[in-house]
Amino acid sequence: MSDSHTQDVGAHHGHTELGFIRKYIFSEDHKIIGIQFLFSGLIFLFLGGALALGVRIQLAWPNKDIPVLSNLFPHSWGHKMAPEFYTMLFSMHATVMIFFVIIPWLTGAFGNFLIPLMIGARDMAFPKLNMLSYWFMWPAFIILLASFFVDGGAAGAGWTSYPLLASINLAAPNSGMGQVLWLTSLLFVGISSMMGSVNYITTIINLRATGMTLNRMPLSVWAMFITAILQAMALPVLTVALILQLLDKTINTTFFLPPGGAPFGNWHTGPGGGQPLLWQHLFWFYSHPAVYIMILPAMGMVSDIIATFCRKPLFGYKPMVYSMVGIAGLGFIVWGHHMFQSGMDPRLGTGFMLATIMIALPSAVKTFNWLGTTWGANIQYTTAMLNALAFVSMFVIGGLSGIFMAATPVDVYFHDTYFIVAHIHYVLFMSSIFGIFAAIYFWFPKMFGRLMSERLGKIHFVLTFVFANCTFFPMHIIGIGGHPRRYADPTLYKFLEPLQGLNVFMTVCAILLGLTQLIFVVNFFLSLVWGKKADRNPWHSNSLEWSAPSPPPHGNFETEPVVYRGPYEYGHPDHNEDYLPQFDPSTVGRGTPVHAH
Amino acid sequence: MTQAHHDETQPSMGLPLPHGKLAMWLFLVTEIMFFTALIGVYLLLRNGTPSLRVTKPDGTMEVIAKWPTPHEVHLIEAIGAGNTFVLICSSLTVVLAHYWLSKGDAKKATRFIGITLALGLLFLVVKAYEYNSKWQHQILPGRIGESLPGMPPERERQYHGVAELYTANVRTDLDEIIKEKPAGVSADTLALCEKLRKDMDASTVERMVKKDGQDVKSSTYQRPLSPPEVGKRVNEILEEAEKKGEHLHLAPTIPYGNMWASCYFAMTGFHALHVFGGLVVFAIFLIKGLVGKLGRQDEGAIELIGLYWHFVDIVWIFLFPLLYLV
Amino acid sequence: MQKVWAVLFGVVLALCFGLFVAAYFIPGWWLPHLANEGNWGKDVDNLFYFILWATTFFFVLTEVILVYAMFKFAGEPGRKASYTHGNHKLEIAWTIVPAAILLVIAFSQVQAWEKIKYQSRAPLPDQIIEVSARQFEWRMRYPTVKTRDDLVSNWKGDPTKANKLADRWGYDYLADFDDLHIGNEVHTWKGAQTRIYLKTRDVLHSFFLPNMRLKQDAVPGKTIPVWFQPTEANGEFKDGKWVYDKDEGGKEKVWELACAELCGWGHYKMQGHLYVHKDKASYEAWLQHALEKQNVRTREKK
Ligand code: HEA
Ligand code: HEA
Ligand code: CUA
Ligand SMILES: [Cu+2]
Repeated sequence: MSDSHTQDVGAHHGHTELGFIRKYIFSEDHKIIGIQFLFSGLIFLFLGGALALGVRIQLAWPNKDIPVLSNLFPHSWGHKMAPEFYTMLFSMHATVMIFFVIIPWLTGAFGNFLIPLMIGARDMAFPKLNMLSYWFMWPAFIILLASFFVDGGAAGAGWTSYPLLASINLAAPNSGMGQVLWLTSLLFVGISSMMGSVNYITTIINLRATGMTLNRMPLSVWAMFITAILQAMALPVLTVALILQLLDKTINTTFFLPPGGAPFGNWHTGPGGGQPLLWQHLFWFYSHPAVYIMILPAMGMVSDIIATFCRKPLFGYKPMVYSMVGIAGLGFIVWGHHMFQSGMDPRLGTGFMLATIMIALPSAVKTFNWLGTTWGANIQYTTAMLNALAFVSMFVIGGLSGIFMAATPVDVYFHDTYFIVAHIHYVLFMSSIFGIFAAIYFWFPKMFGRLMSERLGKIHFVLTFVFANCTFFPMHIIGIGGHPRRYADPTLYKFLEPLQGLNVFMTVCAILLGLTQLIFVVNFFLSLVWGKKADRNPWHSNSLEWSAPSPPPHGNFETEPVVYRGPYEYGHPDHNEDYLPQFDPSTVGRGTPVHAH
Repeated sequence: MTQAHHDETQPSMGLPLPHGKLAMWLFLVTEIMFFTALIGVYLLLRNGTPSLRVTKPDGTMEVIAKWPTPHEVHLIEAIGAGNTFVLICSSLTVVLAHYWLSKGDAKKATRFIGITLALGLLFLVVKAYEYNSKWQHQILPGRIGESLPGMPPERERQYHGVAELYTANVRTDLDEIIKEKPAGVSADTLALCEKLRKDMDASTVERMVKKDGQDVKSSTYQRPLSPPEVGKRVNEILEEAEKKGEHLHLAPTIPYGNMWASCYFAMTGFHALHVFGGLVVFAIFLIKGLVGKLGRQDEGAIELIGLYWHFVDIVWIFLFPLLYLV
Repeated sequence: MQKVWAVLFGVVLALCFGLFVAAYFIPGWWLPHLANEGNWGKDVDNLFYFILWATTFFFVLTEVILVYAMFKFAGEPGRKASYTHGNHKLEIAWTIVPAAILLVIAFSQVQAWEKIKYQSRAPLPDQIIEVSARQFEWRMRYPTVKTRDDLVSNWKGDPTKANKLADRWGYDYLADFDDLHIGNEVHTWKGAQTRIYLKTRDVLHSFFLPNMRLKQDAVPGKTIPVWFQPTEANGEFKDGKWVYDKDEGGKEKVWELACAELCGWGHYKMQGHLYVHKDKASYEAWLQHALEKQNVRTREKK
C-alpha cells in the first residue's frame, strides 16, 4: 500500500511564521478560507437583500414617486422605476442570493470550515487548490458588480436566463453586455465550486482520523460529501450551457436559436437551427440538483445542532443518511418539473412528475426523524437551536407547497405565479438561511473563539421568524389568486386588484425584515471583538471539532484525534454527563475502534 | 493492516489511493459530464432537425434538407482518421514514458514525452489546417445560407429574414471578389461571379425587338434573384471552383449548415483546448527531462497526466465517428 | 420560561394556517372564478383541493408534534433526555404511509394531465384561433365563418380529416385572405371546443387564462396546439357592442389573458381579454362586425 497519502496529513507547520497576507488573504488554511467565504457571503446577502427590497417597493407602489428612491432614477424614466430596471432587480437578486450567498456559504464557508475539523484532518487534501477555489470567486464578484454599470444594466432575463430573451442582444436592453457578464461571472463561480467539490470528496474519503468510519461521520459531513458529489456531476452541465449561450451571443452560433431565426423590430437575427428548449434542459439539469445543493448542507448542520441541543441521540442516523442519498439521486431525474408548461412532450411530464412526487418521501423521512429527535428530549433553547427548529417547521411548509407544483395539472395553473415565489422563499430563505443562521450562531465560537450575544441573537431570531412569515406566507395566497411572477406592475389586471393590499403588506414586512438583519450584523461584529470568550466546547457537543482549541490553530489539533464512537451519544444512561464526545476515550458506549483496511 | 513504520494507533481510514489519483479521477468525472453534455447537445440537435421533403410534380419525393453530410461541409474523413491514429499513438507513448520512468530510465522517458508532445502538436496542426479550410469556404456559424429552392412556402416564409441576410452577405463577398480578383481564381469563375452579382439586382434589360419589321428598343424589367436562387447559383459556382481547385471566399448554402458549424466548432474546439492543456504539461516535463531533473519522484505526476491524456484521446474517439462518419 | 418558544412557534404557525382559511372566504383572495367547469378545469381544481387536504394533514401533523414537543420537552436543568437511536417500526410506518399517499397523488393526476396536454386526446375543435405572441402583444387570427365551417364543421363526420384540416390552417398558414387579424382579444362561445395554435415571433411567452386554468408557453420555432372549452359565458355581443354579464356581486365578469413567461421589460403589460359569448350567434355577429371594421380600415388606408 502506498504511503503517499499519509505524509501530507502530518505536515504540521508551526503557526506563527506566516505573514499577515499569507495568513489572512492568500491563506491555504481551510478555516481562514471558510471565513473568507463567510464574509463575502455576508456582504452579498446585503446586496441581494437590497435588490429584493427594490423589487418589493415597486410591487407595492408601482410607478409611484417614492421619496428618496425616486430621486435616484434618471429623469428619462420620469423618476420612476423603469420596468427593465425591475427585471434586472429580481434577476440579480436571485443570482446574488443563490450563487453568491447560499452556495458559497453552505459549501464554501461551512464546507471548508467543518469538513477537516469534523473528520479530524489537519487541513484539506489540497490546500492550494482550496485557496484557488476562493480566489476564483473574485473574478466572479468583480464581473458581477461591474455588470451593474454597463450599458443597459445588469442581466434582466431572470436567474434562469431563458433564450431567446437572454441570448439575443436586442431582445431586452439588458440582454447585451449585462447578460454576457452574467454568463462569464457564473462560469467563474462554477469553476470555483468544482475545485471545491473535488477537494472535499478527496478529503472526506482519504483524510478521516483514526476510527472515523463512514457511519461515525456527523451528518454535516455526510451532507457536504453528498453535496460535493452533486456539484461534481451537475456543474459541468451548467458550464456547457453557459458556454453555449455565450457562444450564441458572441460568435453567432445557433444552439438556442430556432430555425429561421427571429425578428426583433426591423432587425433579424442570423439563421438558426437550434432549439430554445435545449437551454432549459441543460439549465435545470444543473439547477434542480442545485436546489438540493442549497438545502442538503443546511439539513446536515441542522441535524447536528438539533441533536446537540436536544441532548439526545439523533433519531435514525442511517435513515437520515440514506434519505440524503435518495434526495440527491432522485434530484437528478426530476429537472423536467420546471418545464411542465414549456412545450416539452407531455409524456415526459408524467415521468418527471412521478419522480418529483417521490422525492417527498426521503424528505418525509428526514422531517419525521427530526421530530423523533425532539421527542423525549431536554431541549435547550439557544439561538442556534431556535433557528434550527425554525428550519424544520419552515421546510415543511416549503416542501409541501412543492407538492402542488409537482402535480402536473395543478402546475398548469400555478406555474410562474407567486405560489412558486412563496415556495422558493420558504425553502431558500426560511430553510437554507435559517439553517445558515443556526450554523453561524453554533460554530461562531469555534471560528472566532468568542460567543455571539444570545440576547441580540434571540431578538434577531424572533423578529426574523415573524417578519419572514409575514413577508412570504401571503405569497401563497396571491399565488392561488393567480398573480404572475416577474410582473413589474400587477395593478393593470382586474383579477389582481383584490390582492394589491397584500402586496403592500408584504412590502412593509420585507422592509422590517431587512432592517432586522442589521441586528444580526451588529451582533456578529460586536461579538467578534467583545463577545464572551468561548472555551473548547461551549455547547457540550460531541463531534471532533470541539476537541480543538477555539479558534483552532493552524493544523487544527494538538494531538492526532482518535474516534471511539458515533457523534450523537447524548444522554447515555451509563455516563454521568449528558454528552459523550467522539474523542472521549472512556469505554462507555464505545465500539471497537474500527480500522478501514 | 497497519504498517510497521506507522504509529500502531494510526491506521488510515482512507482508500488505498494517493490523493492525487483520487482527485484526478474525480476531475475526470467532471470532464466526462462536460463532454457528455456537449455530445448530448449535438445528438439532440442533430436528431431534432427534421429532414425536409418536397413532392416533385411527378409525384416522387425529394429530400431537400437534411443534416449535412461530411462532404457538404468539406470534411475529409481520411484526415480525421489520420488524426485519430496520431492521438492513439500518443496515448501509447505516454504509457511508455511512464513505464520507463518507473524503470528508472529518465532518458527514455524524456524521449517518449517528447514524442507524445510532438504527436499532440501534429494533431493540433492538422486541426488548424481543417479549421482554415472551413474559414476559406465560409463554413462558419451565422454565415451559411440555408434556404434552397423547392422548400415549402411556409418554410421559406420562416427563412425570409435569414435569407435576406444571406444575400446581403453574398453581395458583399461578390463585390470583394470582383474588385480584388484574388489570385488563383480563374477568369471563368470570375465571370460567373460577375454574372451572379448582376442578376442579384433588379434591372431593366434593353433589347432590340422587331416591330413591324423594324428594330425597336424595348426594355423589360428583370426581377432580382430570390434568395433560394442565389443560394443555388452560389453552390454551382463553388462546385465549379472546387473542381478547378480554386479557393473562393464565398458562403455556400447548406441546409442546417449553421447548426452543424456551431456543433463542430464547439465540440472540436473544446477538445483541442484540452489537447493544448495536456501539451503544456508535457512541455514542462520535457524541459524537466532535458535539463536532467526528471526522476522517480515524477512518476505519479506522469501517471496522472497519462490518465488525463487517455481521457482526451477517448473523447476524440467519440467525436471522430460522430462528426466525420455518421 | 423556556416554554414561551413553543408558544411563539405555535402562534406564528397558527396565524399562517388562519390566513389560508381566511383567504378562502375573502372575495378575490382565492382561485379566480372557474369558467371551465364541465371540462378539465374542474379536474384541476379538484386535484388542487385533494392535495390541499393531504398537505394540510401533514402540515398540521408535523407542526403540532413539533410545537408540542417544544413545549413538553423544554429543557430543565438536571433532567436527562431519553436515550434512543431510533425505532424501526416507527420508521417503517412513516415511510409507508406517506409513500401510499404520494402514490395516490401521483396516479390520480395522470388522467387529467393527459386530457389537458396530450395531443392525441385533443377534442375536435368547434373554434380555431391562431395566437401569435410578440413583444409585447398577442396577435390573433380568426377564420371567417365560412372558412371555419369548411375546415372543421363540414367534416364532423370524419374527425381525422377535420383535425388534419384544422392543423393545416394552424400549423402551415393555410391563410385565407379574409381571415380576421386582431390584437389581444380571445373570442369564443359557451360550450365551444376552442383550439388555439400558439406561436411566437420572437422570445418565449406564455398564454395564461386564469379563469380557464390554462397555461402554455409559446416557443420560438414551434406551433403548440392548446384547447379549452368554456362552460360559462361572460357576456354577449349586442347592438355592435360587447356587453359584460354581471356576477353575483354585481361586478362585470372581466376575464383576462396574461403572459406568464418573462419576455422582456413589457412582460407585465401583455394583457388580453377573454370574451366568451353566450352563444354561437353572438360570436358570429361579433366576427362579422370585426371583419367589416377590418376591411373598412384597409380600404381607408388605400
Ligand atoms: C432549497 C431549495 C429547494 C428545495 C429543497 C425544493 C424542494 C422541492 N421542490 Fe422546488 N423549487 C426551488 C427550490 C427548491 N425546491 C426553486 C428555487 C424553484 C423555482 C425556480 C424558478 O423557476 O425560478 C423551485 C420550483 C419548483 C417547481 C417548479 C414549479 C414551476 O415552475 O412550475 C416544482 C415542481 O414540481 C418544485 C417542486 C419541489 C418539490 C416536490 C420539492 C421536494 O423536495 C419537497 C419535499 C418536502 C416535503 C414534501 C416536506 C416534508 C415532508 C413531509 C412533511 C411528509 C409528508 C408529505 C406528503 C405526503 C406530501 N419546485
Ligand atoms: C437564497 C435565496 C433568496 C433569498 C434569501 C431571498 C430573499 C428575499 N426575496 Fe427573493 N428570490 C429568490 C431567492 C431568494 N430571495 C429567487 C431564486 C427568486 C426568483 C427570481 C426570478 O424570478 O428569476 C426570487 C424572487 C423574489 C421576488 C419575486 C420577484 C418577481 O417575480 O417579480 C420577490 C418579491 O417579493 C422576492 C423578495 C425577497 C425578499 C423580500 C427577500 C428578503 O428575505 C430579503 C431580506 C433582506 C435582507 C436579508 C438584507 C437586508 C438588507 C438591507 C437592510 C438593506 C441594506 C442596504 C444596503 C447595505 C445597501 N424575491
Ligand atoms: Cu410575453 Cu411575458
Ligand atoms: Cu426543481
